[in-house]
Amino acid sequence: MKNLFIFGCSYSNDWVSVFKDVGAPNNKQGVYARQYKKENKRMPLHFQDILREEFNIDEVYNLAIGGASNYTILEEICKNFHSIQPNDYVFIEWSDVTRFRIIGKGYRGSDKWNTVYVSDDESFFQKQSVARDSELTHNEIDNWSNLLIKVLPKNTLFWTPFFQTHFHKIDNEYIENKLGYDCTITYESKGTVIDNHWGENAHQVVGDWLVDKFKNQNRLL
Amino acid sequence: MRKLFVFGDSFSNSWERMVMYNKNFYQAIYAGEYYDVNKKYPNHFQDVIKQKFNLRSVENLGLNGADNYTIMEQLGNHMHLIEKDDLVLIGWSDITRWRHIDINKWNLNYLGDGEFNQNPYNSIKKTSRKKIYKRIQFLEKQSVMRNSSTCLEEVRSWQNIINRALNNVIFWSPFFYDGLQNVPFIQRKPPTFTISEETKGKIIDNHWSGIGHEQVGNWLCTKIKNKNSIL
Repeated sequence: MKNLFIFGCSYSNDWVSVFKDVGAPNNKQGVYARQYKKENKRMPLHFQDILREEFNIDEVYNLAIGGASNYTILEEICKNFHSIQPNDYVFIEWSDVTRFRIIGKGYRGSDKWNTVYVSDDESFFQKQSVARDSELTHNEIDNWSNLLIKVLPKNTLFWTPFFQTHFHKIDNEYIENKLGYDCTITYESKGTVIDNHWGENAHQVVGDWLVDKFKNQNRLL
Repeated sequence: MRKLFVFGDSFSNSWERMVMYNKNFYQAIYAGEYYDVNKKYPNHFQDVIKQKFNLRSVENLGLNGADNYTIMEQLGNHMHLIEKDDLVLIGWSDITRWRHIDINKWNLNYLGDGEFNQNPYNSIKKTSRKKIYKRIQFLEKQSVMRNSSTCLEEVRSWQNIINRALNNVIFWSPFFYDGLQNVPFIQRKPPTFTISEETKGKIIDNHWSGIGHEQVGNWLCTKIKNKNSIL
């Protein structure tokens, strides 16, 4: 029995979850998935499908969270790692380091984490997000990874869809160079869904790239 | 023979490191004066634990003023040094602390940080003042809001994985969360003898004195013996 665990942000989110959540604000991936399914009678391909086939995976547990910061991703790994067995495969997609989270108020005034993105326009947030594109945040992730590799199976791979110059241990050049505008949902849907996440073609490319990285022991650590 | 690793903030940092790296801090001044008189540093909880459990040596990696993100990073940075029989003490800092990047360095935010005092506020022009005030208000408010079980949950999740990675680890904190439920680590409940008390007010500092450290060391020894590391 070999399972695949996927952690990350919206780039790793599976189509089923975004499909279900189609009413959520800004969930263009869900709109794309729904439109695709209507036309093709199936969900678009996702890189997890390629990994599943390549590594003979029994079950896929996609625990990615759309919009997640790396703090949220780390917490998700920490909360779920007890389910991961030594033979399992784990793909950890780090999100954009410019994202961070603050405590805000949720349903009925309860505390909840709010993610701050580089596009949020409050000036402190904006400045802070920009400042976070720094060696410091990359070192922070490198050091988390030092801890994570101690407890996660040997088949663990760290990667990121964001091209960030400071990452020492992650090779993301390929993603940046090979995936252009023609790989986006906007392009694939011929502009009917405006969203710069990946469409099916991109997921195929990313899936193959991840398999290649994995097979060549290029674990990015 | 095992080694002791100590991670944490100023309550965990060793006297030697403080005197070396934070010599203007009151803790360092206290330790320096103590050394001048006694030709040795005051007691530290690490000495009590080292002796009690017959440990080979101590690696103190505490950092004054650290928030928990910094402590977590410090741990990750030194994982490769820790062997399976070693004893690791992680003294979590106050959950209200957090950090943001300010001109290529991490800047720590504390409750009542007093950034006003550090800024020549009155010499700043009015429009900038308003911006700075707004920023400080946000930072301060965020620190207050972090006094929340949501932040404790974050630490709890980290502990899940640290506990798997390390064989002998104790999670504790010198900070006491009276109002919060389900604190995932052991807490040192006041009172503990402080530098202010020991120096009879000559040095005003509420960190622990040598006597306080002995109290904490004995308390931690009991917890370690009873495997009371709380998860």
